[in-house]
Amino acid sequence: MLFRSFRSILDECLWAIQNGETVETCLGRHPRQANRLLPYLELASRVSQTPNVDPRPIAQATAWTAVRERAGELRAGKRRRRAVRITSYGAWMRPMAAAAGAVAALVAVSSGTALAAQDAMPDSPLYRVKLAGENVHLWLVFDEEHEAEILLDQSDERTDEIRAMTKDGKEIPGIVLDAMRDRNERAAVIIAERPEATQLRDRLRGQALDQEDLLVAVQADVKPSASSDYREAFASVHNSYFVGTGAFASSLLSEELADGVQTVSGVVQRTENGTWTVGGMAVGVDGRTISGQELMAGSTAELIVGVSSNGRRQALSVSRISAMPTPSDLIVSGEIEEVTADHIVIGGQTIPITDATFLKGQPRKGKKVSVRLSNTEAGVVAGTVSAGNGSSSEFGASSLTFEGVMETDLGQETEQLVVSGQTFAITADTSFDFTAGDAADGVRVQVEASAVEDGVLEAESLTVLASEGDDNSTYLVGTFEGGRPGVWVVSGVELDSPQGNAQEPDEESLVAIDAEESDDLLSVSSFFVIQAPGENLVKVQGTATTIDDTVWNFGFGAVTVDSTAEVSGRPIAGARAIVWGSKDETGSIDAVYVRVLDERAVISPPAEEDTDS
Amino acid sequence: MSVAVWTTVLAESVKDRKGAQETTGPAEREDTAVLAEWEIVRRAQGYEESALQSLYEVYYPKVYNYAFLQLGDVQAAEDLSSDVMLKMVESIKSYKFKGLPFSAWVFRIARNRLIDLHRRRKRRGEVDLSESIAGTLASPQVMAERALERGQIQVALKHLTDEQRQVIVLKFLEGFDNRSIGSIMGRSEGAIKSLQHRALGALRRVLYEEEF
Repeated sequence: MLFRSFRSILDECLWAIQNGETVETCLGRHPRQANRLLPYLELASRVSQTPNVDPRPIAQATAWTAVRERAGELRAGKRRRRAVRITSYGAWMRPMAAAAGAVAALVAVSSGTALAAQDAMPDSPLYRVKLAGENVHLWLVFDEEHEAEILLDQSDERTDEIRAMTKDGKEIPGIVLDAMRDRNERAAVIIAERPEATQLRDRLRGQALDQEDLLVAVQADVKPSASSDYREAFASVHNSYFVGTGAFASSLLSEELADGVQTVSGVVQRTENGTWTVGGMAVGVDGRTISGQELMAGSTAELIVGVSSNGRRQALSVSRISAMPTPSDLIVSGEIEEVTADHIVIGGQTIPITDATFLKGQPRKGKKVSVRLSNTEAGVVAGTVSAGNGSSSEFGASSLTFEGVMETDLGQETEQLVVSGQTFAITADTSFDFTAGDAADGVRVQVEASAVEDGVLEAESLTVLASEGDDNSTYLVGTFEGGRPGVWVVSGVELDSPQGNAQEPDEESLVAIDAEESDDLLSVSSFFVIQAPGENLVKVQGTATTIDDTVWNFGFGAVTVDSTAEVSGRPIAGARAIVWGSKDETGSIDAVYVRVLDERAVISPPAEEDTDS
Repeated sequence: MSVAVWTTVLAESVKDRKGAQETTGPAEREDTAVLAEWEIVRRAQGYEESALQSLYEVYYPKVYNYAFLQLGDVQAAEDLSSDVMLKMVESIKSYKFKGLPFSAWVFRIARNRLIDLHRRRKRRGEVDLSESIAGTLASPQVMAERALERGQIQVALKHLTDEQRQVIVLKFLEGFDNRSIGSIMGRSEGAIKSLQHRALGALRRVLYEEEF
């Protein structure tokens, strides 16, 4: 997903056009906003070409004479004579004059503070002054439509502030979320009363979509104390989309998001009683669900859902829908080799960064980073860049990839996920991918998790695998943390050490382990050291759309998997895979280790090209 | 599909973006122009006539254009431009180069003078200044002097708020960047971004209604 406020995109385009860029080039960079941008850019271009109003030569010449004379006086050291008006105040007026002076002084001081607060960020003590200043500005606006426009601007500025804080790796405080809610609601109330204000309503709706995307993306970055503000802001932004339609009356309640907002993808079906399921998980879909097209039973969709405290899931929006399953997003993780304002290099791969790239943390050379790629009309770009903080499963010593058999019924209210006897906590951020099948009890699944305090493993994602597998076998990838006689610890999970004289991996090694489950214990059957301590391999996750001998194509690019690579699982075009590799001399990625997740294709391989035509 | 495809595709995408945002040249040229002007301003601070004349010849027409689009009245625009030029000469010693172009300083004077004029006229109970644009345009003599396009934009500007009109003129007719406009209008860059968005929206609505 790409996020950026429209105001900011418009400003960038206006600046670029002022510097010689064409309207078309700018629209090409922002295809999603192109229709909205075009009239603004055309108008700006038209205004810029308006000829100047020239002064009358006689007036200009006359004024020059006066200026020249004055300059002469100043050269000669003459001061300007000022007209002095002496006002005689009566004694009774003096207190008023003193009071007026005090007020003027107060205004002057306040103005200075207000000026300093103009660019204050939400974590600044001056931010409250900035918000108060915005309200004062509105007191002087008497036209309500104009007021709604200003409120939308102010709400849009909150978008930029949240983005900037996320980029700096800061937590989002409640004050900015509350201010976003406040501005949106006030604008919505004005617009709702004016059915004729269609442009304002369209702006409100477009802005609401952008802000909802942003709020989904920053959920994990909100301060724990601001969770209530987050829910309120989310519900308000969501409801803004329906202003002017019948659905506005039956709006989303913040309580319906009490347990957070999740991403769920999979095949959608309609049950006999008219309710919907996604990958077997019940989801409420109604007039409050934002969707570009109607849901069709049997199609594959990605939904953003709100989870209430009793576990009920309400579809907020449908972010993707297709007749057939599509390849999963391509994610590249590793150490940054080079980073500039417009690209980032990982494992020799140059990935463009655009202004629309969502940055979580500041990417710096040598830092671990995870990049989710997006295919836009401008080409393949970084959609989201998450700079490592050690807590994500893309990197970090505590991350764990775990495959096993599902032992939880997600249809029931649950905060836990049990897979082959291993318990994971479901959080507000856990995403669910049911593209390969329903999340039924007994299916094989993969969980990506990170170990948090007290040995708890938090599930970041749950993916149903296209695999039958052996009920007793499990597979995991994690960091070897040492052990004691007979026991290995891998990313917080304890396993019986392998039989025989197998040499223990070095601590901090990244290891892949095949294990057997018996009597609630996991025993290591075999293992492979993917990465020694200090090594920096690149990790590529996605769907192998085609496999041509040693070249595995992952949609946007390819990696080499030759005979020197260790491959776990059977190579299948259309199956999902994770590759760990390093840059070769040509700048491409050579696989060291590959894990194929599925035993059958999840997507249909592309049709053979007809070379004769 | 060769192994090198990935690198090639991504690198080309970067190259395309670089091509689209070729900004180093204009930015450098702009810096050079600001520094060259600073040299003239330094000489003008010693009241050197040729330097003052250079500044006058550049800024009188610019200020006049700005004033006319705000006031819509030839005489008032001439008076204001003359007043701003006098103030420029009298205060030029106090100007310090802080990275903002000299033009932003001159336009700040112009804007303050405009606000003073608004206040004076209001106190005297005179007609709202923005109304007078329409009045001026109604005169066939004045209309004949202007291109149709310019007339349309001017009429449309009349319907904007003072701040919206300011930002349109400063940004799109005078070519200032957001930082300079913020300095002239005493607002943050973020506020200018919002204002230009709103101003273009308002102008579009007015033009759309009038043209279709």
